[in-house]
Amino acid sequence: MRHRHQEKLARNVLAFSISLIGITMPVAAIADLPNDEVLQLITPESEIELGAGKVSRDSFKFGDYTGLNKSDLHGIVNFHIVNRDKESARYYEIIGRNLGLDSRTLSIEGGQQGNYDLRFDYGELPKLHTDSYQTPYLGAGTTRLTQPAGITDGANPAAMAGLAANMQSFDVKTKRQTLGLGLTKLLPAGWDIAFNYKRENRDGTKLTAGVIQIGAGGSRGAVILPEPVDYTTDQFEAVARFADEKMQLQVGYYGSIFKNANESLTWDNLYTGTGNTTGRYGLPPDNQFHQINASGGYAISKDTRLTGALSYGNMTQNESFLPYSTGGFMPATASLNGKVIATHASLKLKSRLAPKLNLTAGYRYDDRDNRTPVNQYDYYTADRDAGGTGTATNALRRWNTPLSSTKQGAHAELDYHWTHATKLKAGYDYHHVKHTHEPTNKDQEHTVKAEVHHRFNEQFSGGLGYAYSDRKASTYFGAAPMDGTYSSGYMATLCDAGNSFSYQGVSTACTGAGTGRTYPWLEAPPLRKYFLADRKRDKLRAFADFSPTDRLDLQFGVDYKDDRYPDSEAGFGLVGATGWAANVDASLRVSDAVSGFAFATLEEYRTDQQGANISGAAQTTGAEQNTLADTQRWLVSTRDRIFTMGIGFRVKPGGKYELGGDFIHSYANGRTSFNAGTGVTTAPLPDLISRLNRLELFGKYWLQKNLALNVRYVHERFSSADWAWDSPLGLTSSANVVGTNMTSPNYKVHAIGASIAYRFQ
Amino acid sequence: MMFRGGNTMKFMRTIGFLLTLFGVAGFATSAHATREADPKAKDIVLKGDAKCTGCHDEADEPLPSMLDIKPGVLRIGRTKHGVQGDKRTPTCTNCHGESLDHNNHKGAGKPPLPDRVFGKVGQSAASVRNEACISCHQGGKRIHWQSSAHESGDVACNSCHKVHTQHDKVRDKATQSEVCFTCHKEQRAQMHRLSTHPLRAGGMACSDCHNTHGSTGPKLLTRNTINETCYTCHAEKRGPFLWEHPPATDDCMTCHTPHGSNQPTLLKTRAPYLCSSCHLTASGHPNQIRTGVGIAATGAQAQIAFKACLNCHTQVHGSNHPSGPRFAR
Repeated sequence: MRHRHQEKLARNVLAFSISLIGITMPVAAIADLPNDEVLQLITPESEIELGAGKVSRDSFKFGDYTGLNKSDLHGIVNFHIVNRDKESARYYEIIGRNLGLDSRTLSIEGGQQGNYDLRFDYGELPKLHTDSYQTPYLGAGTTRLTQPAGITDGANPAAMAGLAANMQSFDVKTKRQTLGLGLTKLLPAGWDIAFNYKRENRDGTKLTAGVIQIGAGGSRGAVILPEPVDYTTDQFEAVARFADEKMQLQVGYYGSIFKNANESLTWDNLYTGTGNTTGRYGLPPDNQFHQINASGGYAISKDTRLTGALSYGNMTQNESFLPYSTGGFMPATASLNGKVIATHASLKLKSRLAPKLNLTAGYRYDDRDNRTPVNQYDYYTADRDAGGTGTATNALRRWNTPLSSTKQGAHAELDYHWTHATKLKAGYDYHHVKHTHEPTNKDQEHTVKAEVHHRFNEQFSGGLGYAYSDRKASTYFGAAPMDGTYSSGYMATLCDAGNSFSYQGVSTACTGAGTGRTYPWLEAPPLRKYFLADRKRDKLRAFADFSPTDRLDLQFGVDYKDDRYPDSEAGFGLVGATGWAANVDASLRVSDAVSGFAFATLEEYRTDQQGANISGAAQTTGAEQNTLADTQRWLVSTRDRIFTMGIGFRVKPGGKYELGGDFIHSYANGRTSFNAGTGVTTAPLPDLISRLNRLELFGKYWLQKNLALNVRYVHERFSSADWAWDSPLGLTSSANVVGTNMTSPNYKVHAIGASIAYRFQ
Repeated sequence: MMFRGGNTMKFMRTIGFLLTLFGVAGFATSAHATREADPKAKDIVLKGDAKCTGCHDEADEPLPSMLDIKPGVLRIGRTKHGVQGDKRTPTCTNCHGESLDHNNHKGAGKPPLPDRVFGKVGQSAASVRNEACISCHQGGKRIHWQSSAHESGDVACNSCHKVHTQHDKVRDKATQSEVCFTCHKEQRAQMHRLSTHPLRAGGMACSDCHNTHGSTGPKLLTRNTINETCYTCHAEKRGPFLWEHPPATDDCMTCHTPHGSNQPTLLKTRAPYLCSSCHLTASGHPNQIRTGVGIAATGAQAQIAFKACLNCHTQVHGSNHPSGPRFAR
């Protein structure tokens, strides 16, 4: 239904655009290209481009975001029509791009410059996830996925009779359609007001999965599903602004209202057992955000300026809850009544302390105050009819833990022009975070940084920058968040009798047996979550610019970043993340008519994480005390190495023709490697590969002074390999997940286009 | 009605008349061998521009005229800065300075450079160049320009903007990133990876997330925080949810990288390794390493095959299902 509506809307937009061209054409005919050279130089130029293009074969990945996924003939319709009446200051500007494709955009702006402006925008953007996905369900794309009669439930995918025969291809894609309206009006005495409205519809499907209980407990089965997407987001902005030489102010309102036309996704259970016949999960709930904000700047003196901002926002969400399971059983509260207050304040000072010395300093405060009510929920692990609800001693009784945080930061930077050629910078940043329901209560980070830029001569300049950060968190206690979300009775079962623990400040006796724990925990105590853990960070940047002649520019750059988590080195979790990138760029102007460029970038991003295989009471004790034998420990290293290079040329002799071409090559290799003790079984994973080669050639031939023929040719090859989807994995490889027959994208396409561009003034 | 053809014709006739006058004036002064501005010269585009174009446009002078030297500067007439009907429109000297030495230069030699030089040769300091723009463009989205990373990095307005041309690449969504990538080369390379935002396709611009003129957010983001910026396009992940996943609530960049990734959905690292860097238990399935052992034609492990952890825990951005504390519903 929505698709038909979209197509109709798209056609209407296209028709509207063409009619606009029609309206403006008589004007164009009047103006045409003036003969006088000066008049031609000072009069705005408009252009209409019409033509056709063809892609050699269908390819989802090639058409991702561009709309060039079909091999059908497509129209090339672009225009940019502008008119400015220099005396009355009235103007309009109409820009249409890719109107023959699903990535079309249209913007119309007009008004009287210095008085008011009106704006209208329309845009479409296709996101094409995959066209190799297959599903066993009927009703793909809707909120109800039904089992075809030809498939019989099974304990696992291999046992689901008729599964392979009933798999059907389904394109997983979404399209965004945006509509924007804007008004700006200048008022007397330095004020102006602006209103902006944007509606975005996102429609289609994305890939997700659903899980359901197999049998009465323990085992669960999943199916990879197409999730229907039918989102509407309305954004409103109203601002009043003031500006004079000394002071600038802005006060405004921003509102964002998200609505999801779909409440939930329900699918038939393909797994045998005592579970429900259907599974269901909730889709993103409707929510709203309203914010009032103000910002301003004030020139205290010629050399000192103060700026600041304040905002107060309110996020709410109150969508009706779904039942605990498709068997019914509603929670005691009908909806969340979720509410978060987001407050921001910041202040910045920029001052020239001395002719060669500048100071920049600032403070910022961001608070997320989550005022969502806390309630008890006796949940079901996965959809099923019977048993398993929460009790005072099991893990299924939970309380929600609304997350709040307060972040504060301060910074100061001195900037000293030592000589005309040398500039030095030194700075300090401080960051402090407090948060709730986390293994740490707070952390603080200090950063010192320095930078030097030097111009050696007219041809050669360079710079070097370094920053060191040290983040220290409060005492890390991985079990801390459990206090707020589990019952004391359940937590007591997690540790061996004879021990005790503090539950919300009350000493509570352990009741478990053979758990291997002296206190209740779920995540291994030596584990440090990297976004909360102590961290040391080095950042280094170096660059050099070299212009040996007026015609040649060379640029070199290196960026390096290294994060280390010392506590994880001693325990578990992310030990380090290191990234670096090296760039070389060259641009050459052979003559005024011929130019070229080349660049290359080599990047690497690497992570190392430590862990251990833990099972049984003895190993659990070892994990708690961080005394696990090396035989159980492992290290996983992931490394992405990417090489990207490009070359291009432009020939603009100023006569009848222009030529150009670009070639881009990108090769990415993602390697995962394991280093494990003898008690851990590992096997290598294949590398993740993606390789892109793109050649683009384009030319313009002026048939007349104001009429040009444009031609464009693109050849693009993309190949990729992803062990998570490719062979040997198949439809029935896993006992707990129904496969999709999906493969990594690979394509080789040629695309050509020819168009006529008419210019007028 | 916004457009009035009659006005255009009238304007063109006026321009033509002025140019005719200008031609006559140029002829009358042709006997002079020096490069003085002709006091009788008429403005071409801007109020008072004759002070500059009057000298440079003496077409019959043996020395090259503005049309010969830099005809492109007249293209300012095609832009908003060339609209005299807007009383805020500046003239040449508002941006380039009064340039008295340059203007009063007599003789056949090269005159001194204007007070404020935007070109490559003899270019004024970034702060000097920026003064010209800031004098008019300091309000609204540019309130925080001073003390922004670009300002303190000596980026000048004309490093990115072209004032004398109708098509300012950085103000066009389809071409903006080309300008940004002249400095941000790492991001340029990242745009060619497997998973990206639609910048290369022109469906999005750097300025959709970043306010390059200074902002209250980190990394020059358009809004106060990273998440607030992401929610402008991904409002479905905003919540607040019944069950919140701390890294997602705190900072989208804990798991994602914004400009391009070799992993799906702009993830820094893929599941299960991204997940196992924070989840290691003594029971249940996050209690062991997942390796190539789990990738097999039969007996493949659900924790590594296909969507890995997300085969079941699909709601990692938060769940509003009463049975969703494990983000599976």
